[in-house]
Amino acid sequence: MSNGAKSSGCELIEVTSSFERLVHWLFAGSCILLFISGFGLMYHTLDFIARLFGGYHALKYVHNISGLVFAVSGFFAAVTWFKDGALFTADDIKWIATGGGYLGKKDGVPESGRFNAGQKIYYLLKAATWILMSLTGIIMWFPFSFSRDLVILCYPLHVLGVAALAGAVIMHICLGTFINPGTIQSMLSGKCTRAWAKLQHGKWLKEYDEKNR
Amino acid sequence: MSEKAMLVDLSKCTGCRGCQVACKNWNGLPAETTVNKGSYQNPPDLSPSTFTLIRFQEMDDGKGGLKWLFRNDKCFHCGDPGCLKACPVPGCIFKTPEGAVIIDPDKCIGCKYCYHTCPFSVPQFCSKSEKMYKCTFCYDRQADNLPPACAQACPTGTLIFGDKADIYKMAHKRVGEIGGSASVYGDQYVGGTHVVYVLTEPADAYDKLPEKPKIAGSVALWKDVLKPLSMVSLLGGVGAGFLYYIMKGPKRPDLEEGGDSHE
Repeated sequence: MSNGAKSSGCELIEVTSSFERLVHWLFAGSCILLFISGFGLMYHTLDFIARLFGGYHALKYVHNISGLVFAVSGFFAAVTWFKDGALFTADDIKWIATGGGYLGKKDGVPESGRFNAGQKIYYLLKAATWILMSLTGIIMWFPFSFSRDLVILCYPLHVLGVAALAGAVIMHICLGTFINPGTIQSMLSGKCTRAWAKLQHGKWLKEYDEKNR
Repeated sequence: MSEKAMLVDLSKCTGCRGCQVACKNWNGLPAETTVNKGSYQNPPDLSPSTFTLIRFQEMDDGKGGLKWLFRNDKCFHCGDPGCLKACPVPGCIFKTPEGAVIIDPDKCIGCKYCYHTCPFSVPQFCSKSEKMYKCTFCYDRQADNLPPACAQACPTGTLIFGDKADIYKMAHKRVGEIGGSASVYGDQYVGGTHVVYVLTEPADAYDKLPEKPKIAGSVALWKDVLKPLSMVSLLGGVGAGFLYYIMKGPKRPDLEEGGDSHE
């Protein structure tokens, strides 16, 4: 299947579009700012965060404005990666059963398409929390426009979203950087090596080669 | 200094509104331009420039007539304040040793969390300054051994300021004297309020007075369960990522093999 030109594992191929990368980093950047400012607003002991941003009043606006960026970019993220992220196949079930090779043995892990099953689960979590955090966030921002019962329900729901997301986002960052070297290039230059694609998204690479033969 | 409290003996209130005026006077709060909506009550509700007011309410006296219910409404200065639990800014809402619950407007960022988390919806938002305001229990007067301005002005003995233990005792003694449907309201709720009513009617007869005020379960869930859980989640993610790396190591592509085999 590999001819001369494609024989090098170092050869770079394009794996994400510039639009995808823009959406990813708007979503990711706002998400990180929201986490930092949100933890600063939640924990009195983390008051150094407020000082970093120029006080609590500024911190509130950092949270609100990045919340708007999160809500808008989250919409594009949910739409852009719907086909990659929301549709599960039989191979995905097998991937989950084998822990994707991360947990337990590395044998018997099916080759992944553009998203592996773990990334699909992450997509679903992000899509669900995008809706949850945006809706509860807007209601918390304008509490006089909604009933008391609804507003005080949104406070715990908003933090439930944080609890669901915080660990997942950290894992996403770990998996995308030092645990899987070469991965972050896909979201920076948009290019990956053939060797990386073969290892991480073998099924996708085959389809790519089919198309570009 | 010992803990203080204020008795609001509604059996003695004549609705003169001396408390309202004295509060505005001491705190330098402007009068509001209001509209007559067919009620004596004015202003219609608490506001950023009205920390206390008399609620005028007409009630069926059961004999085919009407009787007045007057209620001096203001911050209850809870022993366990919902507003304080919700406030994101350290030191913005605080309690004095005497029991006053204060919002420091200089520190307030206008997040409005304290409004709905207060069982009585007392704190009021000023859209001009984007800050919340409420009764301060005249803690500045208390520091000088003076009673709050409303209690100083009250001509009927409805508002009595004193040591918390004495006030609580007075309230129960007074209810015993009145009998009937009279009750003490406040000492059994939200950690014991520092403003206690002697109600002449059952609590549910009064407008905007919650029957059994408490910090909402969702607020406790938010601050006592989910807030620490979110930190556990964050640190758990960091720990798991680090542990995985040192135990199992990175998953490296094999660049030499032309990408055709990697196992």
